[in-house]
Amino acid sequence: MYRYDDMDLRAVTERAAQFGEQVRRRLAGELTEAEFKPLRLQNGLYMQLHAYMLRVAIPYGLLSAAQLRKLAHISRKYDRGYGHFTTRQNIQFNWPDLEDVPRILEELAEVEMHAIQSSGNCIRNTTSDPFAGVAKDELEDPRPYCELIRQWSTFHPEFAFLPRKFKIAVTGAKHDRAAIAVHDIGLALVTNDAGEVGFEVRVGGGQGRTPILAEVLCEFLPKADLLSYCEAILRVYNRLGRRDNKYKARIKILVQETGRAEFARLVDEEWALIRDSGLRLTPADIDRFKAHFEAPSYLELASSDTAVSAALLGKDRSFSRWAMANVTEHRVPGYSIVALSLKAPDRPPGDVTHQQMDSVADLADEFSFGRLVVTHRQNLVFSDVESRRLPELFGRLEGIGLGTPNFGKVTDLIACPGLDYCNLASARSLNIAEAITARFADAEEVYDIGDVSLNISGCINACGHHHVGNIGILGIDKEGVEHYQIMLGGNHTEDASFGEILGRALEAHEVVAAIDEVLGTFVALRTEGESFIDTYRRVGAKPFKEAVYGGAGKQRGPREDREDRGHQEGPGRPGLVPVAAGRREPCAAE
Amino acid sequence: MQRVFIVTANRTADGRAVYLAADRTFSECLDDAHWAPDEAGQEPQLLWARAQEFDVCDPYVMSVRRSREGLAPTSAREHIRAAGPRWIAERFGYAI
Repeated sequence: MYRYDDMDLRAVTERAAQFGEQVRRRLAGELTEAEFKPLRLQNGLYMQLHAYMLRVAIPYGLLSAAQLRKLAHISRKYDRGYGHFTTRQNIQFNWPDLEDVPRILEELAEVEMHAIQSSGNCIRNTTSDPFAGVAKDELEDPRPYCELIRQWSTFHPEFAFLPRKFKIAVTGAKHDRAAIAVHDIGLALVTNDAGEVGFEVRVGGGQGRTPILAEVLCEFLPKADLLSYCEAILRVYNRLGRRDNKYKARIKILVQETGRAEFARLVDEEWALIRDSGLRLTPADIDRFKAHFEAPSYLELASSDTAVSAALLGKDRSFSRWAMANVTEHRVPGYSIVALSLKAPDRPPGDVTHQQMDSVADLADEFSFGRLVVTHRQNLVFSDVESRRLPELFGRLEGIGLGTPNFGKVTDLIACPGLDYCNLASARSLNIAEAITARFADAEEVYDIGDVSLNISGCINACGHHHVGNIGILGIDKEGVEHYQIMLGGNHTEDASFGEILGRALEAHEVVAAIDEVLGTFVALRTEGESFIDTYRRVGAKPFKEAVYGGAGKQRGPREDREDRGHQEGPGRPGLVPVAAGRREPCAAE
Repeated sequence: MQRVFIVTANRTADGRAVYLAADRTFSECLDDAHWAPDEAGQEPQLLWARAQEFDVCDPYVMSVRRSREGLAPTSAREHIRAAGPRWIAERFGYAI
C-alpha cells in the first residue's frame, strides 16, 4: 500500500497543528461558529444531533493493521469505544469533544491518516473495488490510479471551493463493485481495439434527491491523460456548476442541463489547453505508483478448489454457509478473498467496537499480510487468505462476532446512521435495519433467498444508497411521523438502475411485513437460480405491489397476520418502539 | 397539553443538545427550558442565545408540549436529540 513520504507526513502533521490552533481560537471565543464551520468541515468534523462527528478518510478503503489499531485506540481514548464504517469506505467517530480533535488528528498522522477530503465542497475520498488487486475478473489493479487521483486532488488549490462535493470511483474489474454509475466521475479500466489499457470515463452520476446515472463522456482515455482529463472536467464544473441552489449544484445537474454532447465539447476545449502540461503521466510515473501496490509474497499453493469444496460440502453447516456467502475466488491459486460481515444481529450496520478492531488487526497480521479493506457496503475484506486456513479464520471471526454468513444477502444491508445520529435525517434507519435483521435471523432462509441488496436511507440525501438497492427503503417525515417508502429494482453494478417506488409510504411497524411480502413474492415467482433483481426485471412491479398493498386501488397496508413467517407486530418488537413512547429519563449528569 | 416554545442549541465544547433556561444558562435537561406560549415570545431569548455563540452553536426556537409531567418534544428528531447519548446507549448497548 502507499506509504507516506516526508512531504506527506509534514502536510498532515502541520494540518493537525493548524487545526489545533483553530480549535483553540474557537474555544477561546476568538472565532464564531460561522467562521469556524468551514474550517472544521475541511477537517472532517461535523456537528450532528448529539455531538460532533469526525469522519476519517480511508483512501479507497485500504487499511493496514497498524492503522486499524490506531482507530481502535482513538475510539477507546477519545470516543465511546466504537466506530462506524461508511459507504465512502471511511470511518466515523460519533462522540469526540472539540478540544480532543486536534490530538486525534495528530495521532492519525502518526499512522499516515487524516480527515481531509471527508467533508465540504471538495473532491472527496476516492473509492474503489474492495476486491481491487485480487479479483479474478480484474483487468488491472485500480488502486495506483486511485492514489494518483488522491495526490492530485488533495489540497488542489482550484478545487477547494467547488459548487458542491465531488465524488470519484475507480474500478478495474468487469463486475462493478464500486458503483461507478452513481459517482460524479466514474472510471473503469478498459481495453481498446489496439489492446491498450485505458479508462472509460463516466460523468454526472449521483443519488440524493435527483438520482441520475452517469453518462459515458469518453469511451477510451489513455492512462497518460487521466489527471489532465479529470482536471478539465473539474474546471468546467467549477466554472459553470450552479452555486445559487445547493440542490442543483452537483455536476449531474450541469451535465443534464448542458447536455452530454455540449458538456463533452466544453471539457475537450479545456482539455486541449492542459493535456500536454505537467499533468501528463509518463509510464515511469505510473510505474512509481504501481510499485506501492505490488502483490505480497504469495506462497506457491495448490488450487483453492479442494479447500473451498471441502468447506462447502462439509458437515459444519455454519462454516459451509459462511464459506458460500463470504468467501470469493482469488486470482492466485490457493488464496481466497474473505468478507468480514459487519452486519451481526446485535449491532447497527457498519459499527465495530474497539475490541473488534484490535482483534481484526491481529487477524489481518496473521491471515492477510497485515492489510484489510473497507467496502462501500460497510463490511471489511481480507484480500489474501490462504484457502486451507479458512476454517481456522472462520472460528476466530465467530469468536469476535464477525462471522455472520450473510455477505451479499438480505441482512447484509446498508444503512445510514439516520435520525439516531444525523442532523439531516428525516427518519431513523437503524431501527428498520434491526427489525429486518431480526426477522431474517434464520440463516437457511437467508441463504435460500440468495443474493439481494437492501439499502436504507434516513432521508432524501441517500447516504444509505437506497436508490441502488435491489430493495431500497427511504425514511421520510410525514407530518411529524416517520414513514418509509419502499423501492424495488435498484442496482449499483455494471447494469445499474434506480429503484421504483412501490406505493404509498409505510409506517415503521409496517416495513418488515412489507419486506416479508416482497421477498415471499420473489421466492414464489423466481425461476431456478434466478436472483431477486433478475426476477424483478422479468416480472415488473405489479405482483410485488399487489402482495404489499393488496389489489389495484386498494392501497391497504401489508398484511399483519404474518405469524406464520415469524413476524410480530407491535411496539414490543425490538427496534420498532415508537418514538413518542420512548422513556425519557430524569435529567442527570452522564 | 399545551404547545409552547423554547430555545435550543448545541454546546460548542462537545456538541450536546442544550436548552436555554429561565436564568439564562444552558441546560442538558429539557424540563429546565424556559418556555413561552408563542414563538414571538422567545425572540428575546433567541437573540440572547445567538449572542452566546462562543458557548453554543446555531440556536433556534422549537415547539414542545407542556403537561403536568413537564416538557416533551413534538417530533422524533427532537425526542431523540433530547434523550442524547442515553438514547444511543439504550438503543444499541454501547457504554455511553
